[in-house]
Amino acid sequence: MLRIEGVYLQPASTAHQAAVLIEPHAGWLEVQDAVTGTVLWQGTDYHADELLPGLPLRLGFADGSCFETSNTSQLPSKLKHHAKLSQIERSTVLALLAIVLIPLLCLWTYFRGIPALAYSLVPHVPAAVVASIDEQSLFTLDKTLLEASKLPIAEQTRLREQWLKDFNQAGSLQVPVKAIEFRDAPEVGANAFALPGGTIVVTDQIVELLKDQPDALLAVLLHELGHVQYQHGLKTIAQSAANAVVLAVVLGDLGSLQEVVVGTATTMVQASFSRDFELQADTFSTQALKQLGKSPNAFADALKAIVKSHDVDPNDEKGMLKYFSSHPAIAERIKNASN
Amino acid sequence: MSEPITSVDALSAAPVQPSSTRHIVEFTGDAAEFFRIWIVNILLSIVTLGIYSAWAKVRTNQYLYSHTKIAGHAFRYLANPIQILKGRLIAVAIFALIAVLNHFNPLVSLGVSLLMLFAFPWLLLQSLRFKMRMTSYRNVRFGFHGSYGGFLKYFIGLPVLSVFTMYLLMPYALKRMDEYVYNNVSYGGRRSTLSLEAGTYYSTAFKIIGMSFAIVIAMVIAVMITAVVGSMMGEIASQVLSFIVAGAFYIGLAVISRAMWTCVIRNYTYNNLKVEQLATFESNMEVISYSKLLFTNTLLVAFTLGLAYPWALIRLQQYRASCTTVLLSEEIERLTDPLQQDSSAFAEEASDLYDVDFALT
Repeated sequence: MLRIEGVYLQPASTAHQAAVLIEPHAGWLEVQDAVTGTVLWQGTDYHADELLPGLPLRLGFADGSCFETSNTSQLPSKLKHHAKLSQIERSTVLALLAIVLIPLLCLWTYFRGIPALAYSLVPHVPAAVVASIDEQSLFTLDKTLLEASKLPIAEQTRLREQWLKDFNQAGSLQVPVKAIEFRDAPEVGANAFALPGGTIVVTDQIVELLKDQPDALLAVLLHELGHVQYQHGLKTIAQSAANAVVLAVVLGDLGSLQEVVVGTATTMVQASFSRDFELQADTFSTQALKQLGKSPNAFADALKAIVKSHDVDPNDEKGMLKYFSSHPAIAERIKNASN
Repeated sequence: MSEPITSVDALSAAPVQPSSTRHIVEFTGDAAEFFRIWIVNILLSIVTLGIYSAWAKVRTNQYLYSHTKIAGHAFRYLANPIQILKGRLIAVAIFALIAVLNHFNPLVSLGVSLLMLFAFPWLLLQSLRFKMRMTSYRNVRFGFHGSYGGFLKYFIGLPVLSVFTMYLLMPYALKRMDEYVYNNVSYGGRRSTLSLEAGTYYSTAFKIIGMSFAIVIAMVIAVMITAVVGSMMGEIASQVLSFIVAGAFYIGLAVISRAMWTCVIRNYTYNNLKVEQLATFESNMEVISYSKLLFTNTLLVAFTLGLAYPWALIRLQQYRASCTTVLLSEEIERLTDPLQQDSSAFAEEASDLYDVDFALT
């Protein structure tokens, strides 16, 4: 029969006395005064503190009294399974294994787990939210980096209609293009980008740069159409939001909330797509060019012209970083697009 | 460890507590043992997608509390992991909602900031109430009796006001915050009391500002010297050396200013803190030894990529405990908490939303 010596602490009081814990039959506990044998508490309704290596066993009773003992070699029958966790925490082998496993699991969660979770949420984002994201992003960009286009309205309309016609011929669109906007962007230079909700923004600079190569310009637009079709923008936002939520779970405190919220607002505007997303859009563009009966090399031509306009060596990774912070090495993309 | 004060001097100096016994706080935690608990709990938290982190928190706190002892009696952490989990789930739900709304309209983050300003005192109050209620010593619980109004006044009102005085009011505000917190803590239904002068807060603040200037000037000179010396070894060596020197100064500045504030203010606070008829406190932390501890802890954690965190934490707890003395009167032997004994009233108070941990403190 279980018999453990310890201390009984009276309800909500510092008064205590030497006592013995016994379990006359399974589940039923009795605490007796160590000297007189008087029963101080008995019953089945008790709660044990978590058992930890090196710590005493503590049982709390409903009336606020408790029993404490540093002898944890034997336990009441109800608590046998409690001890398992404590045994795991004593293991040196498991501790060493954890040192290896923790970084691996963190990396897997960050690169595979969270993106998969986030992408599965994208189809459930309401259309109104998606539309609003584009309006807000364009508003912010107009206030900061972009100015009204200097292209004649007639030219804008001609290009827009031509591209939309080409888009429809390239294949059936899963996600509609919301709008094609022209902007003057002296700071950004020759570029085009897709906003999360399906708006494509084209800078005057790229129109000017590729004015003699309409197919190359179309290739750039098709690349942006690829981002829209695969919903890369929404996926990126969902991922950054999921990262933030996971961070909140891990840190488990509200203090960092504000910081993280402000953080996600800025990532949205600056959103640059991952390497995988860029390559996916590149492939989409070359495939669509073939569909339209154009040379798939047009996209490589466009890339070469853009790189040249930014005056960087396509093989110089460091210089490239300035313009395409998360883009795959341009040389590799040009090579892919030329095949 | 403990020696009764018996001399006539002690009697006349402390007439309120004629038979106090001195106890240096003990911390008996073991770094190697704690490391295994800590790392296994992190692994389990990751594998369970964060759910287990609530259990991990309870186990970690239980380890630290149970190894902190006064007069041979340990503290006890009473929280149930479910309460922690509830708090975290609510926080995550609110957070996810804000993150989504924020993408809908970036102005939301502005509203959230404003809301946080008013929610902060409430969260602080709840987390202090929870933390105190979940702490017991010799089977008697601590309590916290502050109010939302009090926190709004001292933790938002005064600091905001101090901005308009070019922060001249800030040391005074910090003094009032410390007083407010310690005057609302109770043990077994008995309030602790703390009354301070702002002088110590001001002199410490000015000393830290003066010292920071001195350290920044020393850093500039040191970086210049390293740059000159390093330039003989080449451009990259010069840059790396300057970076290391500047980094060491930066950590040093952060550590020393923090150590100065903590040591002086904690000693001053503890030396004036008392629980009527029951306890007085003494703290004798030293700026130099505490700075050394913080500096080596920072390097230890940084160079092991966080793995040495348990060692750093145990060292910190050991040092803090060894610098703290509690003078306990005989009343500790026969203290009962009337409210806690009335279990129905106690349960009723604990059953509402306040029984959730928001972990701000």
